[in-house]
Amino acid sequence: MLRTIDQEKCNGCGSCFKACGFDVFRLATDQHEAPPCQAACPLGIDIRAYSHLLQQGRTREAAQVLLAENPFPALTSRLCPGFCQKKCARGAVDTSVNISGLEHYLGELVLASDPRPTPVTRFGAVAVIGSGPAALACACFLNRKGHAVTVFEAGAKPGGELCTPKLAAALPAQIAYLEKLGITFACGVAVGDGLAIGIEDLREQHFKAFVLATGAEKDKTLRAEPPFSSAVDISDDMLVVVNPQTLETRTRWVFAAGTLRGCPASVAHQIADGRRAADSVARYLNGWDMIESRPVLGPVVVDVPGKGIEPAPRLERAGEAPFAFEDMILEANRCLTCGAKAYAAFKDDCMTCYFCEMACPQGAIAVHPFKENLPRTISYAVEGVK
Amino acid sequence: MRQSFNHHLKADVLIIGGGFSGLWAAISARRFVENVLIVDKGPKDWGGLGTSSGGDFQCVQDTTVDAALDDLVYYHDGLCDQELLETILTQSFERFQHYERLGVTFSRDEKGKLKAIPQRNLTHMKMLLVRPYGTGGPSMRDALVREANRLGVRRLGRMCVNELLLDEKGEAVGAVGFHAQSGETFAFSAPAVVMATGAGGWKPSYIFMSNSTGEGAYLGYKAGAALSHNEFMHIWNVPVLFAWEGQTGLLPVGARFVNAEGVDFMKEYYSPTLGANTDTTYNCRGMAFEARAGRTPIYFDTSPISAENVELLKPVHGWAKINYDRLIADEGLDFFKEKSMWMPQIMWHSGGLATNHDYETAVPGLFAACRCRGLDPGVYMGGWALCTTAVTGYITGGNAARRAQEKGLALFNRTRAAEAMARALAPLGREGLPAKDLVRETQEIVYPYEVCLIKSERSLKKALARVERAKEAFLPRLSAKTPHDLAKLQEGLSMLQAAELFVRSSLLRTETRAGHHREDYPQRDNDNWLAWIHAERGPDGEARLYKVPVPLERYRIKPYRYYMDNFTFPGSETAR
Ligand SMILES: Cc1cc2nc3c(=O)[nH]c(=O)nc-3n(C[C@H](O)[C@H](O)[C@H](O)COP(=O)(O)OP(=O)(O)OC[C@H]3O[C@@H](n4cnc5c(N)ncnc54)[C@H](O)[C@@H]3O)c2cc1C
Repeated sequence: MLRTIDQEKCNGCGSCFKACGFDVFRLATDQHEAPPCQAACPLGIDIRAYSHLLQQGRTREAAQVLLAENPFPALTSRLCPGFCQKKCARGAVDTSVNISGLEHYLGELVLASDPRPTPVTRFGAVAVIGSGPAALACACFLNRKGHAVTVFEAGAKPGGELCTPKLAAALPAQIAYLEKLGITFACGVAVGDGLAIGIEDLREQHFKAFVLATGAEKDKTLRAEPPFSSAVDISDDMLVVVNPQTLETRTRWVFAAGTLRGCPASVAHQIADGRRAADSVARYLNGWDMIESRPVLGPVVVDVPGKGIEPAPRLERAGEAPFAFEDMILEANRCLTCGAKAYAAFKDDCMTCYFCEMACPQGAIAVHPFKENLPRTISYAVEGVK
Repeated sequence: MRQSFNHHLKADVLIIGGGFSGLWAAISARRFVENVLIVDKGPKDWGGLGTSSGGDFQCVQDTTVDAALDDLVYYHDGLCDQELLETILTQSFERFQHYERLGVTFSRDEKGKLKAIPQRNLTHMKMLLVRPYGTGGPSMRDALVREANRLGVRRLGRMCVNELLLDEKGEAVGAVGFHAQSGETFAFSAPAVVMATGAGGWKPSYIFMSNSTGEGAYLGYKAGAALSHNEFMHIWNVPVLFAWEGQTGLLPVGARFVNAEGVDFMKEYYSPTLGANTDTTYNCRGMAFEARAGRTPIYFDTSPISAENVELLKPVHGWAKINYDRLIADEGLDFFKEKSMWMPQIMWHSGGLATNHDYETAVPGLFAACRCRGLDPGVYMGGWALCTTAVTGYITGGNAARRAQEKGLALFNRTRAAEAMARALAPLGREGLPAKDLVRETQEIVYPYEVCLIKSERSLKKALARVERAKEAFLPRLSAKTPHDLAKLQEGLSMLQAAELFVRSSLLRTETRAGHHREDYPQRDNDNWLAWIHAERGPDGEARLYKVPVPLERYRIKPYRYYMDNFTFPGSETAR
């Protein structure tokens, strides 16, 4: 029977979990050390955790893990350059895991679900100005905290820079999803100094905090001055000046996020910025410390799996279609869940077949030759060797 | 549909079970249809039991099919489907060649002649080998999986199938199941379904044997198919404390089974001609009679084996090597230097789906490959399983594919499918008795030697009463905490049904033949029992058992010699 799993030697590759015919093993993914993919991800998504759930086909739980950091997997899986994949330990064995394919699967799953409106549990509303990735992320995280959120968009449709052909179908679906959550979209309403409505006007309508996220041209020379100088300082580069950790501006109730405040232009960085702004808004509205216990990632796993792992071809999505369930599971099972720890979740199903021990590239598993004590055909009073 | 199932997958041929039978069926089906899907409750591509097997392969290659069939009729004591076996024997060579084409290397001598070892003192039934021992199973699995990949066969692992779907005409058109790690629910539709779930059994401790719990028979029976060979099981002799594979190879070089008095009881008391060099079922029966006589424990004594032979026979590969080395390292126990305590252990139940010669069951569109089809009367030869998985898997896959082409559409009733799914999921999350206890109870019912080895009306009736009590106690109160447990629960249910059919059919067969020994009917009764017993689910849900005579008038070989006559067990001297 399975006797020991040496936790020091185990590097999380999951070979035991994948090989066991009796389904004895699971991986503990909640570890202090972060896997390289998570460390590389601007959003710090716990890819290891959701990937192990996907390995088991537990798609809804996986989606919850992903959504905790990234509310828009359907969008990022189509736009993100895949910072995670570039650091994927599987790359040293054959090719990186198709993380973006897994994310796409979950993104579609999320959009196909029919979310219920988030209950509004806080008094007063938050205004998010702009509707690009930082703005939408900020709105979504504030909605989760129970705040009423209105997204103001000067254009006719929400999305800002997300309005690209790549997202022709996904973006409207994502917006519809956010509307179902209870986020209000006010399109065709330009907010700012001298525009249809100003920040101070909105304050009078019980908007208690503001997040400016109207974006900025990549080329400095093309940027116009953001119309918010009544509340915030504007830099020479025509960006809103913020405290980079808290995204606070000169005015306590005004925050800025995304490229408008100089955040890197990738969609993942911008979503992370929106999330940070939402966190700050909540702290401000609650009167908390703006800095204390902001999330920090642990050190990165150094001893990543790879040695002794059999190559397996990376699966690619067929065009625009997400993976089928069977392919999703296959691809997820290429993940080496760096730094997780194996444990016997269903220990009494072990049947002393040694397959886990043979599969473990780390020599971390020891099976003892004595097998399970089952009922006997002939029962001997003393069992042993002579 | 959307609400009842998380996923709906369509295929031309659905194959339940991805062991060697299932893989062969898929490879064969792809000759005729595009979309072949294998689902398996184990890991994808793990290959079932075959992967831990030695790779020994029965093959008719240096003798004639007629001669081999004559051996089998003798070995099966006349209770054999000669037409079916003749096809298997005939095609065994093609599948051997096919394995070679797929990259499996069988042992040959210096001159290139295949090494072939006769089995169980038979003359013509010989098995081919893959050496070193332990490389055969994995190399066959790799070869089959490579081929399945090349042919684009779809495979889905950790998928527990728990009910078959029939259309209005009562024909098999799919199945429902759930993913055993997540509980995601699935409907599969296909105009032909192949059962390749392996043999039944009661989860013995023997490498992977315990994953094959007879669900093919269980599901088929629930859907209306008949089962046969339920009164037979295959019993193996094993060490009490650990696993050992290959003792048949040790007997010819001097190892001996002895009783507590050091007597080679098989040779001395039960079979002076064959001794222990026979099928394990007979050795186990001998052990049971030794227990009766108070001469246990039984030991396997390896000390007579020469040092030279020990070197040749030591496991050098895979699990067998780790097992051997660790017994020495952790327990100071050198298998080749000690007498170890041995016992009989039920390996698998011979009961399985009854089919016609196209391997189609009474449910049109439902086919049964290899070990989930009833075939053997409780006796076995080394290499027979891998031969039959390949041959019958191949035949079945082809037949199922042609059936799929003819039928085309697979339409099932969605409400009934949803109900089936709901029934399967019902124990999830509720309070009650766990799968573990059900599994244990079924083992306790069939394991005692007076039930499985030396049967009598008295012992069988006692066992039947216990089956009834288990049904009453467990069926209304089954519970599972997780989908993982739910999959184990289904195994337990299948084991309980097999236990019932084993006991009932054993009661009915009032004679002794091959693996079936009735101490109250110790003689062979050809007048009444050259017949199979089939079991069907009656309209009241209870088992209906009936006789199906062996159609000897059609067969070329009229039984004229009987393997069982090599043995004399207490009681069999006296006429009944
Ligand atoms: C240690 C060992 C050594 C052996 N050595 C030899 C040898 O040398 N020569 C020889 O001929 N034979 C040998 N055998 C026997 C032989 O390997 C098996 O009998 C044979 O491989 C069985 O193949 P199968 O495909 O019919 O069934 P299995 O291998 O039992 O495959 C059945 C598959 O169906 C799946 N399944 C079951 N129920 C369900 C369900 N409800 N839903 C979905 N999937 C399901 C199982 O997970 C399994 O993968 C050996 C067996 C063992 C264990």
